[in-house]
Amino acid sequence: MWNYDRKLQYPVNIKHPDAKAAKIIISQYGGPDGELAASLRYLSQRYSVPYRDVAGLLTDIGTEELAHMEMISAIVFQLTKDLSIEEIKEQGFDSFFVDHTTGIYPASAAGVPFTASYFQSKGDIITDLHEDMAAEQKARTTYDNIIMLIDDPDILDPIKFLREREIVHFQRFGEALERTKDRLNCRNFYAINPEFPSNK
Amino acid sequence: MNEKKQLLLDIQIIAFVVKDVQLFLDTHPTCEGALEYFKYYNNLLTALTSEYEDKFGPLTVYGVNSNDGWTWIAEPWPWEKEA
Repeated sequence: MWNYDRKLQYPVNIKHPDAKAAKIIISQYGGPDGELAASLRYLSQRYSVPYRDVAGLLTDIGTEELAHMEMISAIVFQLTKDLSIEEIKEQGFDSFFVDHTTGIYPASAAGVPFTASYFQSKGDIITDLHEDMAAEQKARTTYDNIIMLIDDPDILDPIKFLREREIVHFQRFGEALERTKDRLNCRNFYAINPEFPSNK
Repeated sequence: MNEKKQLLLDIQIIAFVVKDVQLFLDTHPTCEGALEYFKYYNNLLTALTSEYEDKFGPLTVYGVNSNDGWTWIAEPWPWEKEA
C-alpha cells in the first residue's frame, strides 16, 4: 500500500504561466518516456523477481517515480493556471484545451494519450533491468531536450532535479543487474531467465 | 522565508537524503557507512516531521490530531501555486 505525503519531492514554484511550455513538459507525465510509464514499469516488474534486493529497488524507484509524476503535473498545472482564452489560443494550447480544458491528462507533447505499450514487464529480470536502464537514459534525453527548449529558471530548476534522478536510477539499476548476474548458476553463462523455475 | 516554509524545505531536503540513501542501500545493503548515514538522517527526519506537524498541521494522515478537527484538508495541497 501507499500513503500520501503532503509535500512535493522538490519544490515547484512557477511565477509566469506559459501554456506553450506546459504542452512540451506534459510529455514527461504521459509520453513514451514519461514518469507514469516509468512508475508502472517498475511497479509491474517487481512481483516476479526472485531476488528481494532487486524487488526492493523496483518498489522504491517505482514509488519515487510517482513523486516525479506529481512534480511534472504540478509544473503543468501551475503553467496553465489563470490563462485567458486569448493566451490559450496564442500559445498553441487550444488543441489540448478543447478536450481537457486545463485538467491534467497523461498524453505526449504531440497529444498521443498514454498507453501501457510504452513499457514491458517481461517476467525475466535480466531483460527487464536492461529495459529499465534504457528507460532512464531515454527520460534523461527527454529532459535534456526540455532544457534546450525552455528558458524560464522557475521551470528549469525542478526539471534539472528530475534529470539528475534519471542518472542515479540508471546507476542503481546497473548495480542491480550486476548483483543479479552474480547470482546466476555458473553454467548459465548466456544469462537465461532466472525467474522461470526450470532455469534456476 | 517564513518559519513554516523554511521547515518544510528542510524536511524536503532531509527526506530526499533518506530516499537517495535508501536506493543506495538496496544495492549496497552491508555498507556500514551508508547504514550509519541512513540512521542519522532518518532520525533527523522523524524529529523535523514531528516539529512541523505540532506547529503547522499534518504531513501524512498519521500526523492528524483529530481534536483539532479534520486538519488533513485544511492546508493548501502541495501542487497549489503560492499566493
